[in-house]
Amino acid sequence: MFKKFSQWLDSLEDKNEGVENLPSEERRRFLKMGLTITGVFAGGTLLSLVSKVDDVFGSIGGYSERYPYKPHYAMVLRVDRCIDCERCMEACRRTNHVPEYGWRTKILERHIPLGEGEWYREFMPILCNHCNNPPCVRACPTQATYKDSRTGIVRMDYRKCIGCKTCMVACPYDMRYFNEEKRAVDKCDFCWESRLSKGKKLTACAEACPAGVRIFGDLSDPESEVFQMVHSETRVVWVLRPETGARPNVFYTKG
Amino acid sequence: MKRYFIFLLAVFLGCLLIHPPTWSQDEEDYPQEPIIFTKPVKAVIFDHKVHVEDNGLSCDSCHDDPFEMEAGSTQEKPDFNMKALYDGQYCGACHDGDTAFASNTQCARCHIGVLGMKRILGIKEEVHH
Amino acid sequence: MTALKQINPPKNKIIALFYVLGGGALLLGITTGLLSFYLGHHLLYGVTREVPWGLLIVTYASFAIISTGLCIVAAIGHLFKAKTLEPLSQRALYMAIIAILAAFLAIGLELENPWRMAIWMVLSPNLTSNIMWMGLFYAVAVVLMIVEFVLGQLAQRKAAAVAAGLASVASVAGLVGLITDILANSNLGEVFGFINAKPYWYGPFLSIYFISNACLMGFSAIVFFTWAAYSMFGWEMDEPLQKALKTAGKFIGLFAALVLFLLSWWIVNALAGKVFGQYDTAKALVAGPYALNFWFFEVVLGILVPLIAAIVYKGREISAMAWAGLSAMIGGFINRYDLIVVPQTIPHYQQFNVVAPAELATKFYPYVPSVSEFLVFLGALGLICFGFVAGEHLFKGHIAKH
Repeated sequence: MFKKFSQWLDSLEDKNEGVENLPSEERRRFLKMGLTITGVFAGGTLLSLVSKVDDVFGSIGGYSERYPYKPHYAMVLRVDRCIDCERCMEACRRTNHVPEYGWRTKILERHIPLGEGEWYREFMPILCNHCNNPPCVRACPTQATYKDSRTGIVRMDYRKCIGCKTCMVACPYDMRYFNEEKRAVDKCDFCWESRLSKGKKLTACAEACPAGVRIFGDLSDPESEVFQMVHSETRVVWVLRPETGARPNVFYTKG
Repeated sequence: MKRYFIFLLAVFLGCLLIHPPTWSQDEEDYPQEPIIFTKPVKAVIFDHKVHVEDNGLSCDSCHDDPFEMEAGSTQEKPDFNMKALYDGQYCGACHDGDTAFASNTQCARCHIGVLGMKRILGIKEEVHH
Repeated sequence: MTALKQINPPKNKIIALFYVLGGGALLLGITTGLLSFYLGHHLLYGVTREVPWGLLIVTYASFAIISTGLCIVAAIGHLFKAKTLEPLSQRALYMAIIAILAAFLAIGLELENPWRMAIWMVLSPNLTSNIMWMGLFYAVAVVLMIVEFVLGQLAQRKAAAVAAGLASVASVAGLVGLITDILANSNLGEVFGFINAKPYWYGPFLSIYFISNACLMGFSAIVFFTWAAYSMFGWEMDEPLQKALKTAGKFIGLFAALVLFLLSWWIVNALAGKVFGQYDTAKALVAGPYALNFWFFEVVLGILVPLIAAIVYKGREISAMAWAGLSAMIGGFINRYDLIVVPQTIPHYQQFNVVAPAELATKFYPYVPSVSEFLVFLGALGLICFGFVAGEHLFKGHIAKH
């Protein structure tokens, strides 16, 4: 137990060793040379070739060894490939009948500083993280939102929603909105109702993406692309807001 | 006579306001506003200024090959896509990793996306509750 | 047998004003609330996807906290037989019921589908949900408080032998009611305290803070309402009541000091720790868009006025302490507002240098209460005003006849 604790302490040390911490001088030099930051990583000239998966999850306890659902749906987002064409958003809206005033997935535009007024652009798609420890599910008074015991998808039972909106406040990712027509909170369900339950293999957004940003699959299957990306030795993988302890199943990476 | 002169001057200045003088651009007469491609995906920016002023290209570096003069004509071509660029066509003629950064890197440098397009065109994003 | 002695003519105009304005606001609030169900909350209420909890949740939390405080005050006199405070108990119990009903009114008109609550909280309750436990405990608590109150009233009208029996049943109801009420209040605190998405709330602190505020609100409310009743109706305060109010006045000071202590460390901790969300909230409060709310309402009106009044008058100047109590309640309301709204206005993706889309890239998510929300708030407030004067009439000054 103490060994685990000390491992945990160690993991806190370098938790944030991401691209943001590259010295800006070097970053700019590489950019000027026409190389991407990802290229730098993959080339391994700057950082050692160590996967950060365990660091990300090591800080909140053993996670990557076991996946409790079958299939354990997950998505890996290759952010540096996203070009904000928003075809994913359109496909999602069409497929899931998302009303005008709501959204289930969105693209954020980030300007990541390089120092001295310089920055580079990155588009970051966001969607429900289908957390293993979903704060929304814990907070719901009537189990109107729940973790599907088979697939791990965080779903809604619309008729049970009393509209207290606690789940909306509890979500660290702003992934829930109130659907007036359904008189219930609505959210991404990895297209379970519209596609997966009908035998399709991909979510609408993953299928619509022209740039291969959204890799969707079964994290419990070692043969799957998502598993291999998340467990690659050479790939930096992270999740959003890990400090909340929500343990997302949507991962971010580059390249 | 003097009045007539003032009148002429006023008309002349008025014309300047409506149409900025062209002679200030020298022979390098290129579009000042960036061009935004919306096909095959939304949206890609091309800025003449950066290419001419910062990188010293001249008109005939790119016109009429690989790009026709007429703005927007390129994006109507069916083969105007990333694959063509990787094969050295269109932007890929220079953006090959030697002359300029390669087409398969730094995607968001040229792809400003729907958000970037709306910002440049001044389209107000709708804020929904 | 104690009877109320009339020493001044009742201020009938003010009493009528309480009935008319209170009742009018109540009707207007209920109408607005029902209209919002019909037209859709999104059209009439100012809450958004990013700030889903607004003025009505604030109203609910505020009145629920006042109710818990009054319930505690009532219990000290009734149950724990603290003779000094006993003259306050009956009115405190009554106002605790009125306050929680006002809170229920606000949340009932705030929930999108309150009718589904009655079905699904029973058929499919989530045992890990604080909202579920809070709702359950407050519902049980209000029933028990009403039972205690009704039995207490009946006991006064019966012969001594029967009265003793009824009173002991009332005590049991009162004790269980107090426990459920405190459980409800601590769950209310943990509704926020359990939300790790908002680091300013997260942790066990909120339930401690809420119960401390409940004590401050309870003593403030009872001193204010008792004083208001006696001066409006022109009754004479007898010796035990004056003593009770003076003691309660000292408690106002004590709990104002406690709240000052808790709030200070909360803010200092958040500012110094610079944890995402905590720091931003504290900064918005002390030197940002909510600085007026914080310094003037929360600190000066909510804490310093009652604290200094209690020190200067040693709690003995009843009318001064009554005004100090009102000040504490107003400041307390704004404190609940800031506590609930401001952490929600910190953008979810603020750490990520987001520049677009605009609604997610702002420094603060906007929230301004809509007119409809304000009218429903006034309705809940109206219920308290109306209920207060009606109670004085119906129960004749809440005087226990022995």
